[in-house]
Amino acid sequence: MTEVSNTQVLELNIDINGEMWSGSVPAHETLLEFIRRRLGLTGTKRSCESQVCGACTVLVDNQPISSCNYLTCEANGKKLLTIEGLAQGDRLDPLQEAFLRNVGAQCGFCTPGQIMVAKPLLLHNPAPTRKEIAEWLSGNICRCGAYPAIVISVQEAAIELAAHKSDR
Amino acid sequence: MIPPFKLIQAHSTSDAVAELQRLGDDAKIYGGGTELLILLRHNLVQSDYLIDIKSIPELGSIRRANGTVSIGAAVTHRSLETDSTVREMLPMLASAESQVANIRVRSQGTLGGNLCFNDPHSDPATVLLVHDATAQVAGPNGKRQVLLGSFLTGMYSTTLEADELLLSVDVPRLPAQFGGSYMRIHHLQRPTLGVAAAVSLRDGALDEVRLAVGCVGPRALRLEELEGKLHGAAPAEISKIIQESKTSLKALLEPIDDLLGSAEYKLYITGVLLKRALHEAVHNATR
Amino acid sequence: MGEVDPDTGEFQVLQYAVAVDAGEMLHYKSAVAPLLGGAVMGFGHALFEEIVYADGQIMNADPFQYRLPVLKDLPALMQTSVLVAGDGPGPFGSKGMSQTTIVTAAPAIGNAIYDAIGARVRSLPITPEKILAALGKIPAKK
Repeated sequence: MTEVSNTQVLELNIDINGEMWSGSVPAHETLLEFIRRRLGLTGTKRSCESQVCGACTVLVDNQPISSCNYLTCEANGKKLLTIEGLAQGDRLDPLQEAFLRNVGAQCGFCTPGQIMVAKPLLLHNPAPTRKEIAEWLSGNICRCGAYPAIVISVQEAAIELAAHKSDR
Repeated sequence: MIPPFKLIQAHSTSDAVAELQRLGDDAKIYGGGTELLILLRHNLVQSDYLIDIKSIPELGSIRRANGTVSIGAAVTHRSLETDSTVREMLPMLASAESQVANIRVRSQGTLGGNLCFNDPHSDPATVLLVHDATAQVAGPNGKRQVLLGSFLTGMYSTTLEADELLLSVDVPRLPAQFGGSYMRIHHLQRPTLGVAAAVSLRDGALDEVRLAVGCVGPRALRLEELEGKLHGAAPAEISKIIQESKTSLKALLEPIDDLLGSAEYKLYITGVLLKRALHEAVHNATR
Repeated sequence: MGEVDPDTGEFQVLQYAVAVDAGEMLHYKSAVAPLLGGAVMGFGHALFEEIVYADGQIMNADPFQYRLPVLKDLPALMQTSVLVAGDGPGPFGSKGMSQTTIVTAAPAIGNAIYDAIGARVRSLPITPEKILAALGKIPAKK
């Protein structure tokens, strides 16, 4: 039996967008608070804080997670990917390019979450049908109603990613 | 902000039970945290300690022994949705699990947490009841088994004692020749209604019938009286038998008026889905 | 165009079209985005969204009980027609447009439901429960 710490502060090592981060984090700190306040990565948004809206979506070991209700310490030893980590230097991810091309963002608040939840869909299912896209993305709310452009963006990104694969 | 707590890693069942005994009301079991962290944030629940059970090996596994699948309490909904053993042996459960909340909650939330919290508006319990699932519980006096129907006692309540831990749920597969169907009505974030049906046929008539309804009353329930009435009936009589059972169903299910709908509405759609699920189960049994 | 399930009262929009007089569009995709977005907001208004009060207190001010439209609620086919006659008071003959499509959704959906079931639901949101009540299958709420 191990009590992790008397002072509620935990030593964590997390791969964040490809770079190793080490430091001390309180046990009760959520991943969202960690990302926005500690790391200053504000692409991930705070909204409903109930795991309903999806604006806080990030990937932990390629699984989509609501960072608002996920303890930072759960990411210890794992890979965290935020919207800031999607681009490879100057090269945008096909999802990001498709969203730009199709005006998939209106106010832009839900957009990082939409992209971050679409990413594992395409990893898991490279040729999703419209219905499969709708099922997977229906957990991410867009008050502006940008859904039509969001679907097209995901469909185009899927085609783009498949084309990249066959180029190799 | 979630009020500060101390996180304790339990590496074995006896660890976890010992901590629960030691800390009493000051500790809560923590798995996925999808319900717990929200409750803590809103001060609906207070806890100085969270006992993390995700490092306990047997709680994270899905095992099959003969015709029964044993699902560890810390297995996530997403695992159940995608696991090949569950999809092959318990397809209705895999289907229900794939409809829980959203992909992010499913990636984090656990079956054990779902059952122990026992929110009435929930999917898995309804299907598990039709499988005659059993809960395996560990406490200071050792392990005990309890039928899931008895484990789930009411709205947000189970028979779990303060110093006990849910270890796993044992789910026997449906017997051969059975057809199953899970259907639900879903309008707000949590489901309004869930209906699970499993039937076998003999000479074209319903033989064994298992029915469960969830989300309408305080907890998911098997409809034993209706099951008895359907035994031996022809599929064409399903509609009439359900219609005739409306009064007793209302008494059993105790539907309430809430933001998900009026009691009359819930009872009405329960009748509709019972009929549809039974017919689909019959269709699946004949294949 | 939509479809009512007469036994559960559930309504699904199958096709939806908006026609807008914009005068001039300055950037096509940016113009169409809020036209469709407004339609989506209109779906929410027509079918899902409602602030519930009891004794002056809001009962459903939380994401679990206030229903917003999500991707699944949309038809696969959403069409936009934009009239650009250059006859508006704005730059290049443009007119006010964008989320004006919110307003027309509820009447269109209400009419589609009337066309489907022969009964009108005159209070928003048009929920499955109200459709079943309009069909006489359950008592209407007071």
